[in-house]
Amino acid sequence: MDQKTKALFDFYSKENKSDFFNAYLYMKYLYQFELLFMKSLRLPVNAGIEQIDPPLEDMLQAYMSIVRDAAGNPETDVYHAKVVQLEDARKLVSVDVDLQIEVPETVVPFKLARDILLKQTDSFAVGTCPCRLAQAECTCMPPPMEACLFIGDPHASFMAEHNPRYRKVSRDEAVHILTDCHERGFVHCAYFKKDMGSRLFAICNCCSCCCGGIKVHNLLNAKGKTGSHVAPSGYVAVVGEACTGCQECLEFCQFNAISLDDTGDRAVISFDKCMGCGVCEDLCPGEAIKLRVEPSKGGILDLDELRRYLG
Amino acid sequence: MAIRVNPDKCVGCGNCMFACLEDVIEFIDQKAHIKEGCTLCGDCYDACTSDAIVIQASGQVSK
Repeated sequence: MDQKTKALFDFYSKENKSDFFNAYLYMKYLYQFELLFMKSLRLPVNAGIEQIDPPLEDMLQAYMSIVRDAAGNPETDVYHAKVVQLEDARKLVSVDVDLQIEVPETVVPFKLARDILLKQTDSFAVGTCPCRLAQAECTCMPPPMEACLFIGDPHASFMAEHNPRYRKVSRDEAVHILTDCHERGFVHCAYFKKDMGSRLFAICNCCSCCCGGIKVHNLLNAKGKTGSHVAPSGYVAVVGEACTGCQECLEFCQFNAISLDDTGDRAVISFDKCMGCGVCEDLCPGEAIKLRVEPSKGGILDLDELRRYLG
Repeated sequence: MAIRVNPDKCVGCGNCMFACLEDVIEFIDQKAHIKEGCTLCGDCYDACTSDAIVIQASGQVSK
């Protein structure tokens, strides 16, 4: 076993050792995992992704089924995400001291896998977005489509070493990736997973035409199901008087939450659908949209607030 | 009236298929196709982020 794999193996306690195998498979064969996920949703896929040995694919398929079923279930304790607005995401990658907090259920509304556990706080790995690569065609960002950030060791270092499409980046580069993706109109999602140490392990920059997680969220909404494995940020967007009805925001909203009112000259945001990502706030040419804290959408994942709250 | 998919714009993301309550959208050669049974509800049109779904008035010649 090489050093990075050993560090990953040692990270898991005796009781949770089986999670190591899932994490290893997932990180090493991230793109094949995503390919199987897309196929299970009957979606067309990129035929150019490398094949893996059939027995390995069977194992990955078994693991993918567990994660997929969890993702489609609002009760999931295995795999979930919290939408974070840019400033809160920036804080998550700017931590410079060891941090171990269990995020309250009011902020991340799932029973398990809510920890933020950062020891090597400057360890980041960025790589090609698995969802965008596995999809038949992605026109959202140019190759190498680096939009997914793994945070903290041992996972980030393992990714950089064992996944050829991932590389280590500095904190400044991590912030730059968040900002660049924000300008493209992508949503920042903090992903939590039981197999990745029941903790926040990645911040992805997602769009609804590519991201598997957001697709499933929109699918649940379209079919009238309540709840999802993606939790809103704790903010909502509100349209102010300056709105001219230019419709720019309609195009960018990843959650189909914006429409025009009956008069056709003003945007209206569906309170229920808005996830408080802040994409519209920053892309509105007239600065007519503002985010405000909305307690009924859950607590905000703001590290300063959390530290205050947790003492 | 009819709903059609422009294959040049379709990126195969599947959002139309997920939005379709009648389950009449499938993918052939990585592009969305609308099967028999479409009720013209327009949900796929709203869900498409690539402007690939076109609602045509009846009699309009398809391109």
